[in-house]
Amino acid sequence: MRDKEKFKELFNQALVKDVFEEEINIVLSGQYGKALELLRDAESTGLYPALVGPPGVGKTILCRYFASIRAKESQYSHSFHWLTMDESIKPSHFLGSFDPAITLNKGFVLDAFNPGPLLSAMLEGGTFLANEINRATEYSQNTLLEPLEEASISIPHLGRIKAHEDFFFISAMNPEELSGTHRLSEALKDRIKIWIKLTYPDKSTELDIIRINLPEHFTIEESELELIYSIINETRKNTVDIEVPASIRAGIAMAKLLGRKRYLEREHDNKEKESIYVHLSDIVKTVLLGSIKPKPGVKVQDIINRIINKILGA
Amino acid sequence: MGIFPENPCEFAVEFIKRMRGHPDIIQIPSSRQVLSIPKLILSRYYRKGTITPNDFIEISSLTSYPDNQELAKNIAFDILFPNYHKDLINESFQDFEENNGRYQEEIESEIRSEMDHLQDLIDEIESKTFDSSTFQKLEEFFDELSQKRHEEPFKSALHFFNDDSELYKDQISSIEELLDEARNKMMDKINSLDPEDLKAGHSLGLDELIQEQSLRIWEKITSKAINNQDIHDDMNELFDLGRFEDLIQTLKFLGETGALNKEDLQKLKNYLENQIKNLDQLFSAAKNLGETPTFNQEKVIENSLGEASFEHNFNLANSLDQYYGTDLRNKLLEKYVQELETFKTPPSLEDLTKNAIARKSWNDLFQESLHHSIKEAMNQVKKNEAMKALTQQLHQLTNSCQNVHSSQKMAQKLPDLVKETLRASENSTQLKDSVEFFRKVGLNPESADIKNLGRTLGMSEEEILELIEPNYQLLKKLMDSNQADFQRLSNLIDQIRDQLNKDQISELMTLSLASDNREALAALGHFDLGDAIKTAQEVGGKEAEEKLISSLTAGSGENLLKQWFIHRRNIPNTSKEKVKELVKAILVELGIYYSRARLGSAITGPIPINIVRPFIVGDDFDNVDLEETVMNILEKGKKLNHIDYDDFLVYETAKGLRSVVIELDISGSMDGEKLAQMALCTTMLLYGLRKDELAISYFESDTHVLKSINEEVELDKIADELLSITARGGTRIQAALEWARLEFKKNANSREKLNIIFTDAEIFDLQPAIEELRILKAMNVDFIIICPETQFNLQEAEKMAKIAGGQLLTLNDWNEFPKLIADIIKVKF
Ligand SMILES: Nc1ncnc2c1ncn2[C@@H]1O[C@H](COP(=O)(O)OP(=O)(O)OP(=O)(O)O)[C@@H](O)[C@H]1O
Ligand SMILES: [Mg+2]
Repeated sequence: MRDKEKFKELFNQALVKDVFEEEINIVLSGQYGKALELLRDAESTGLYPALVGPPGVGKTILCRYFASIRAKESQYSHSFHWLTMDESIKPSHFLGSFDPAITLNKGFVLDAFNPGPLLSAMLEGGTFLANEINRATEYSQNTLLEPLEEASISIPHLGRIKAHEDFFFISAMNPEELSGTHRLSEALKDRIKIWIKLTYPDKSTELDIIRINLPEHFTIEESELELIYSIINETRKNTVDIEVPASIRAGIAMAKLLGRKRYLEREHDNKEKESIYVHLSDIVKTVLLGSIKPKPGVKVQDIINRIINKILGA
Repeated sequence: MGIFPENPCEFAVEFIKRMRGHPDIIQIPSSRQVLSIPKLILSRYYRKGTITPNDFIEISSLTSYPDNQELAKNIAFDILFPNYHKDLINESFQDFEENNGRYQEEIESEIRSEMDHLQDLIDEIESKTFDSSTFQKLEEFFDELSQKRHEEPFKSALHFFNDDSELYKDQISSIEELLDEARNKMMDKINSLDPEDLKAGHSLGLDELIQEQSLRIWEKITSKAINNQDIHDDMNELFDLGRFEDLIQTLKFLGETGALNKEDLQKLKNYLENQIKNLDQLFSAAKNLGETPTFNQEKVIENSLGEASFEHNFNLANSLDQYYGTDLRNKLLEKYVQELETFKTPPSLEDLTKNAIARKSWNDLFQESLHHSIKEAMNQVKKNEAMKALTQQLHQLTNSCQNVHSSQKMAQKLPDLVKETLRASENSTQLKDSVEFFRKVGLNPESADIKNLGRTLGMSEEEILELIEPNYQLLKKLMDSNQADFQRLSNLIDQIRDQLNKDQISELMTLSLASDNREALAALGHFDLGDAIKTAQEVGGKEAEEKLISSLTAGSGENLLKQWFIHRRNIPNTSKEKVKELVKAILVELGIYYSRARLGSAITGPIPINIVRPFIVGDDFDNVDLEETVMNILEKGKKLNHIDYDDFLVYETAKGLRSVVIELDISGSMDGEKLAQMALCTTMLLYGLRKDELAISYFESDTHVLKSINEEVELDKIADELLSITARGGTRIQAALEWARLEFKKNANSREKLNIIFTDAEIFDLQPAIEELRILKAMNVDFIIICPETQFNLQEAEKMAKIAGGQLLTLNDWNEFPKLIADIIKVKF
């Protein structure tokens, strides 16, 4: 993109507004309502919570929503910062770092420092989400100890700052079996006081989530939704062959794909709708292939075929 | 108590005490959890104005580490309702008293004052209330409930609760509260109600609500029907619009709720005959209704044939035949045969094999399909190749076919196909290739055919004979003439391994010795080491024996190693030492080779600290190497304001030493494969991690230390030890873990600690082992446990991994063992 003006215009259009202005489509029945209450309890007692659950059960969306409520209620804490971790994350990615070019000119001064997301949240009294925290190395996890215990943090060459009293910290992680190579350090474990487990939601909640995530023009029939749910649920029942079953994302994806096909049929005024079975078995094949992880030695394709056979007959 | 079902502080203390004393605890709760519980309880009270036992249970669970949460729920429930599980009262808490003393002290010193503060808050809340009747009301209501639980509306209301403990937890103490809560729970389920829910909803008078709120037509119609409202128009609309899936769901719900009488329902089902257009729909109807409704077979099959693939249709027909007793497969196949002209290509051999049934219709269709395939093959330019491929395909399909009858039918076609293929050979090379190929896959061509064709193609009688009787004759010839290599000879021996007798081995040995064929001697040695040495001795005495042994290196090292572990007891004493020396050299050599190939040279030893690279955003500024940076900038001749990020050079942070301790379970292993791979793995690590801190032991009831961290060892000596190790009995994991712990504690200096333990035995000493695991975890040791995938009981191993905060990995092929270990080490460091 050569044209700087064009870039600026597009960038500003796409810029995410403050969390409190952003509209978040969330379903709060079942476990989500409860989890939200728990986050509020955690906030009011100053105990830091962790959300634990397999991929795609809604940890991130819940945090965003929680941060947006905080933002609406408080006059300070408008900000929501997050960092998704892996092995390569270093303390400076949380805290910020000196711009070497300026530093060489002016020395280690405030001007030369670019604050990281944790520091920003601490100063602004915002919400900080440490996503996939157990994938960070222990060395990086330790950076969080001081902010969690003393509500302060020390910046090399600049000094120690005290966090705004509205600062709040949430971590999210996959259960240990699913996680990468690192685990949560004992020291950090001791500082997280509330462990909120999220799992695959109950049927009526999950159906609502799928419905809410469908664009308006992509409607599907209730009977089709029911079939999609049976398929998703089938992957969760089969714990013998499947290590990670289909997530909520998979259900949403299937519904969207089906909705799109229906939309196109309507657009082109096809009198004869193609049968749901043919559509669905195509969709199931593509979506499940990428979204379930089989136990070692089991072939995804076989699992998918069996599921299709059981639910759709072919 | 009025507000709180139990004093939160006392509850928390009791709860933590029981958690700590429980044998199933995975992560011991920290003493500060005792504060989090009353804090959260208070906060919830301030927010909601009430607090229920359920809040206590939830909060106890939430403040516990995820792996302990189930246990926490049970313990909290037991504290609140000590009489609920009367029969299960916890024998497991015997060792309370012991833990009790220690814990009280901790509370005393550390947390007491904060607790006192919380207690003051609680007292203040409680003093404002006089209500002591809550509990009494609760109990009275439960008495009433237990008498009338099978009467309405109790019965239907209870349908929406999982069990009575939910009532306790929510402190439901009147019928109004019960009905209210039941209504809420039903509301949550609208749009995913099942037939039982609808019935219960009706009994509670919620039909109108359901019909208003539900998006699902079948929920609405069924609710109407249960409520005796007229559903004629609704049903007509569904039929008219052909909303098939909605129709089926509605019929299912009407049936399962019993909302319609049998006859009315049957009448509706009969209308389905016009609705079911293909096998997909028939299946859906059958699956939901539990039976196949009347349908028009001709039409359904006819439509399906045009709409979907053979396999799709057959699968559906198969499911239907199997579960609903139809005979659709046969009809489907007959239809395919009938309409073969229109379809031109019959279903593929593969599809037919997968979908085999013992019917004439299937045989006919298969015959057609085979004809078609042969015709296609013969039209290819390389028809000999094409026919070979087809024959092999049919052969494989025959073996994989699940249906015995069909498999036989297929097998009967094979000889003819083999003959056809030979006939398709255009010269003697093709013929030879085909014959050899067929033999390899176990299809033996007729000698007469080979003879005839050989002659037609102008081969000499001698050539033809070799083609007909290849194996033993050929082997003899090759061994005598010093022509073939080890691999070829080994393969040949392998092909006739079941026919080879002692005399023949003797003959082959004599031949090889006479012609001084090293490769042949090696092939015999690798076939059965013990036997070969004995035979050599018998045939040619000491000299022959030595010649054989010195030839062994011609074969693969890994195989020789396996041979050693399998046959070492059968090797005559006279040559045992010599063979061992040889194997030892191989073991060392292979260890080094594996280490280079699998571990790579890069990861061994600490990485030198003097590597610099350009700065990237996010690097620690402290790591900038000023001298190098200045040099770099000067060299580039840059001015200050032209300096950019990548002009800065930073140190690559060096890695420290690593400590690896490994315990391998050799109990009960008579199997050469396992010991060979373990030995290989051991020498690989000894070489690959020679600059790191490494300790290795083998264990069973004893722990055999091969190398301790602070010990320098010679590869040679260890190899010697490895080759003579034998397993006795039993497995004591605890002892092995204890050894590992002491290694880490006394001898390890590095920050990164990794423990790998392999076991394939049943674990009998789990309890004492657990203590060791906790200590390893506290020492921050990364813990990996490896078990064979076929392990009888992986749960124990899983528990061990959990407690140590580590991982369980499974192994499914011994050949993978060194690779698995190498991979772990590469990932961890
Ligand atoms: N309660 C909910 N309401 C609405 N949408 C939801 C809800 N829960 C999950 N989703 C949807 O499911 C998808 C996955 O959610 P999200 O990204 O929050 O999961 P996650 O647990 O953070 O996953 P990961 O572990 O992969 O980071 C998103 O598309 C989100 O919109
Ligand atoms: Mg996420």
